[in-house]
Amino acid sequence: MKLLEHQGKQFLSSWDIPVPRGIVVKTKEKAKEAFHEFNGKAVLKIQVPVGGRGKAGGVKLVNSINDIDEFFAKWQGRDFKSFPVETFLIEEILNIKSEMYISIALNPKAGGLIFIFSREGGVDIEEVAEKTPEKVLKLNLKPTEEYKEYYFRKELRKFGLKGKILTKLSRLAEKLYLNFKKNDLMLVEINPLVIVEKGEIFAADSKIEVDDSGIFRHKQFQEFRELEYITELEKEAQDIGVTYVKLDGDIGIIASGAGLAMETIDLVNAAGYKSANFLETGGGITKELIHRSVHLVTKDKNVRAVIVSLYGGVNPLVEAAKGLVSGKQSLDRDVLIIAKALGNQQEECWKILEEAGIPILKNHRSEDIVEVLKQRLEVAS
Amino acid sequence: MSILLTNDTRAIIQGITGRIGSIQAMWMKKYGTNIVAGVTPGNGGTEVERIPVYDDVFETVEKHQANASVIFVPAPFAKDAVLEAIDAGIKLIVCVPEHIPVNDTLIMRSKAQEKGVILIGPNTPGIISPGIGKLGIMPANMFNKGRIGLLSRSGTLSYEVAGYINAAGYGQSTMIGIGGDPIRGADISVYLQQFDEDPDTDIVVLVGEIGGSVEEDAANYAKNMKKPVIAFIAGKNAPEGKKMGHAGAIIDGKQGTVESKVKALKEAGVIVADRIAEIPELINKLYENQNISEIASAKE
Repeated sequence: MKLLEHQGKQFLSSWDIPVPRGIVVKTKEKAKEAFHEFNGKAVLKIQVPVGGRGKAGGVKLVNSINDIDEFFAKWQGRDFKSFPVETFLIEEILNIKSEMYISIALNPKAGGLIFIFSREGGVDIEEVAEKTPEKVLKLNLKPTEEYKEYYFRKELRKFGLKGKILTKLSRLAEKLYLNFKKNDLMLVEINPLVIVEKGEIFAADSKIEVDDSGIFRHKQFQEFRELEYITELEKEAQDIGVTYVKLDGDIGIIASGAGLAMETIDLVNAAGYKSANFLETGGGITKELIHRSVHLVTKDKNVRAVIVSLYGGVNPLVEAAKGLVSGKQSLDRDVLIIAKALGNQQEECWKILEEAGIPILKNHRSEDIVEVLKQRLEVAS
Repeated sequence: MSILLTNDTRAIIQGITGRIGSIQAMWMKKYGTNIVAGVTPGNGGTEVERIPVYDDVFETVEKHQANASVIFVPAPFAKDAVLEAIDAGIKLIVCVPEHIPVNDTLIMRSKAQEKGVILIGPNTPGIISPGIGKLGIMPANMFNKGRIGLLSRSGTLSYEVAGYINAAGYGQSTMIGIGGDPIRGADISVYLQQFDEDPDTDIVVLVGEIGGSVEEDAANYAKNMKKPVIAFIAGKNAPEGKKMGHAGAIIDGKQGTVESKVKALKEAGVIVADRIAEIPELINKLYENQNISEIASAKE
């Protein structure tokens, strides 16, 4: 789960990391109201869980009510990289002396964490690292070791920092490190980390990603989960226990594995159709799960056909078949549903589907299920 | 013949009395896997599928010389189960559960490396050496015995690819689901090296997907392999910033896309299939063009 900037800043603040004064708003009216608290100038930012908003004009210095009108005209009700823009953050303007970069992230390559610091912030750190690697400090942190403040102080000192700013940064680094581990994070990034005229540091932006698999042991994130930036259909999917990602086509996809679902989408699209969604059941199939998945996928009224692709390893194919039949029979509109199933209990599964008149493909070839789709849709038209 | 899971494997099942563990014990045993014991703390002295159950892993090593374990313990407790197996001297661990916190995986991974243990997964269908046995949840009837080494990030896609390979008259020496999470136990290079050195594997097929850098790591290792590698990457139509089922399957900016992976693989001399259905043809070509062992010796 990626926290929005303002949610992340709430956590940074609770770890005693200074953040600019800001107000979260949902409407233009509230933004105008809030603007009066910032002495005639402020920063207005869209809140989306994905990067690149600065370049797209999603972060703007506003000097007047007119500027706010313009910003909302541009963003309200729009999508940014397929995420609807619903929340805005209006913040005080900092008296910036310099901008730096600091983060801790997972490091899959080394099987640990990585600490990254640069005196150049507010820019794409990957680019800086590529063009001028000497400007970026990278430290691999081993999962079985404990790193203390002095470790970061020593490394930052060797990197050329000294005095007050050195200790401010080493303490900040230790805080980020300890909270990363304590809260099961996958990323904490402050870019830019702003140094103001008086030498104080502020987190001017915040990117925090929480490990979904670790949320069960962190109450503080469970409430964010409720507020998570997801659509009604995605919420329902969470409730059913499946993963659902909406795409913009008209062929629904249900598959018993992530790779299989992605592959089916690729094949459907390559055949000239467009997939309406990605729905992956994972290994916990029950009759009810499939029944509800059929309803979920077809709630999107564009969907005119659904491909269901299943393998019975840990999943019980008989339960899946029963759920598919009851799901189809209880739909309030006619949607073509075709299935492909192989694995443990396959014969029983096929029999149930055949008796219910659901076309069933009995081999491993996903290309063939797309072929079946094609034939059926041609017959239908 | 096979890698990692061989005729010398003496496996235990941790979490054997659970809902999934007991069903999967039945399927693994039915397939002929040498399962010597099961472990569920508190259930020592009982039996599941006529497999003796013990309270801890150490006892199975003492009494049955167990050397491999497959984990069916719920995700919140999986780390401790894996650490117990490592501590007891188990050398091959297959960690099936999904949704294990990444911080736990980091610890399991580094302990395994420290002790020279091969940790497959987490979030994996497991490993199958057709004709010898399987440690995991894959349906056995999807795999045939043969000389293709198969590696896959996705369980279901490994079944699909195996289906195509079987239909063309080939089979698998071993199939390993390397795991769908962002952090894995063993690195991809470990498996590639094993296949490269296995006298009964001719070609390696790698089934990748969007997100992470495991395909890039594989490309890097494949440069120096004697045997040919064929790769396929799923997820051409995945949108940026969305987790596609697997925790590790997410495109982040320009990173982790199909294009970037295909580029890295091609540059390393890996043969990239645009569609899964092409894989059998590519295998045919490799066998037709040259004797595979000739290819291997020419590279040496």
